[in-house]
Amino acid sequence: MSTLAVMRVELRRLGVRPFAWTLAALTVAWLAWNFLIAVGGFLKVQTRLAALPEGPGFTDIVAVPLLAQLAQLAILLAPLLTMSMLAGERRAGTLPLLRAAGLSPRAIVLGKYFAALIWMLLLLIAVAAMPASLAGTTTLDWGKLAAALLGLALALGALTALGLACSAYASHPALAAGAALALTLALWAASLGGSAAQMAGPLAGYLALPGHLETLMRGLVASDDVVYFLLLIALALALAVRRVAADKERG
Amino acid sequence: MSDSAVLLELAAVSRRLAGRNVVADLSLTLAPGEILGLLGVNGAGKSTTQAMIAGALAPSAGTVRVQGRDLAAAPDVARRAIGWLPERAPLWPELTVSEHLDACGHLRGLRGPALAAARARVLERLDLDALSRRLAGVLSLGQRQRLGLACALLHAPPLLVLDEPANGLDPLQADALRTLLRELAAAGTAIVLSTHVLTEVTAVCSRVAILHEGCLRHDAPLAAAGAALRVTLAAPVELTRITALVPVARAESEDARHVRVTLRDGADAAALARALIGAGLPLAGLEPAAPPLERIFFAIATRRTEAAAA
Repeated sequence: MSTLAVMRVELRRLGVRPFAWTLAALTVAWLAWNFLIAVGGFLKVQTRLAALPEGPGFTDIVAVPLLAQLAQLAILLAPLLTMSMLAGERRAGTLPLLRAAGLSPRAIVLGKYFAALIWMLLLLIAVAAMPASLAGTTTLDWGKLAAALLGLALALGALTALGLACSAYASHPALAAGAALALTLALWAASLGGSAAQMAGPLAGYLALPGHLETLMRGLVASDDVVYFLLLIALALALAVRRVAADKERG
Repeated sequence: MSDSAVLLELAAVSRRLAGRNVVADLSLTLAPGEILGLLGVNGAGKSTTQAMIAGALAPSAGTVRVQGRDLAAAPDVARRAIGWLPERAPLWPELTVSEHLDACGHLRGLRGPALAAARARVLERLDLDALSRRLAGVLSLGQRQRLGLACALLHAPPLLVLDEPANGLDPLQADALRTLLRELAAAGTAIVLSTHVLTEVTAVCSRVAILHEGCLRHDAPLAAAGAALRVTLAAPVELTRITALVPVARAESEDARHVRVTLRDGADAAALARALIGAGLPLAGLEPAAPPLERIFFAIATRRTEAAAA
């Protein structure tokens, strides 16, 4: 109930914040432009692809790459969306008000997390609607698309949780955004280059976010990939709850 | 005070910050309808004490009980029983006044018609109707204070914790605030009021607590202090002659030419003057004395300066 109350307040605040709308508008506009370019390219090669026995279709050439672009944009989007959620509240002095309303640190963090996640998922729906709008005129691989959407939703959830955790620990929203960006880039680049991955060992390979996302984007739903994302979300949120709880003790 | 009459109880509450005791071993109680003026110099621990009472800050030691329940063990008590206005009324700048009240209401568990009724009540009571669609971020200091107070009052809590509520209010609004606080107290709301303005305390508080360097140095009903006058005599007189004032006032000699008097119920300055003349005392002047509260406050507050100088 408390989580729901915090989520409602946070969604209301996101809904009236020009910054959140600007981010969403720019993201959708950029991806819509890329979608149109990809559809144009697909139309040019469509007849040649039809001749191939196992050739890639609309889902492989247009839909999944479009969703992959959203995942890349989310590296920037998630930190910007979450940076002021806790760091900004602390600076403005409104975080003690939430504590004084009898809300537990868990309710505060989860409420804010679900609000940001809903905002990100609405973006995902807007982007997914682009290829889905052509379902009547082309053949969509719904299974592959669903796996890609699941992967992207999990990735957005993980990046949002990381952003919120950084916001919980930072004293200023800009620092939170910077830290979340650095952390996300580190996870993104953890296994860049085969030799680097070998040097760092299998742990770096496991920690790298793109490896888990790519599997899902290819249409393969593996439980270890899903668990990876859920673990990342749980760890980031647990750290955020811990920090918010410490605020009450530290003052 | 019986246990059932205690709304708020602080038992040996301490708070350590950066290796020093900001509040040390503080114990006090508050009954419904009481207005406790919390006084102290800057850094005395007033805001920290209020944050602990409001449930925003955990005590390092001791317990804060509201309606008999420990705030640490039952934080939900804070949601329904306490309204808190911190210093400088922190607000969400992107929300309008009305949205702000809705947000505070949701956080306090108010919904639907109950929330709408509560919002209308505080908007009207704090004269915020005309500002209901204005963004909180563009409000003046006084308007922010009123909105912060509206948020604290929204769920009609039995305990109000107010930190400098008259900050930024004009004289008319400050007077309206005093009237509001008296009305709330008359209806049974207990109020902890922190302020630097001593006249504000004497105008509305029934009790005064003075904190100094984190410790409670004074806790007494305000009425005990009474209204005091300072009598200046034209010539030195024998101290025994001031006993003639007993029917109208309690008198206390400061020196051979000055007497400090506290009027009894029903007596006024004119009656005192008549008594003085009737007793043959050479009256040369009659003026309001520095209020006892002010004297007590200065006596406590200057200890730090003397200690620091030594």
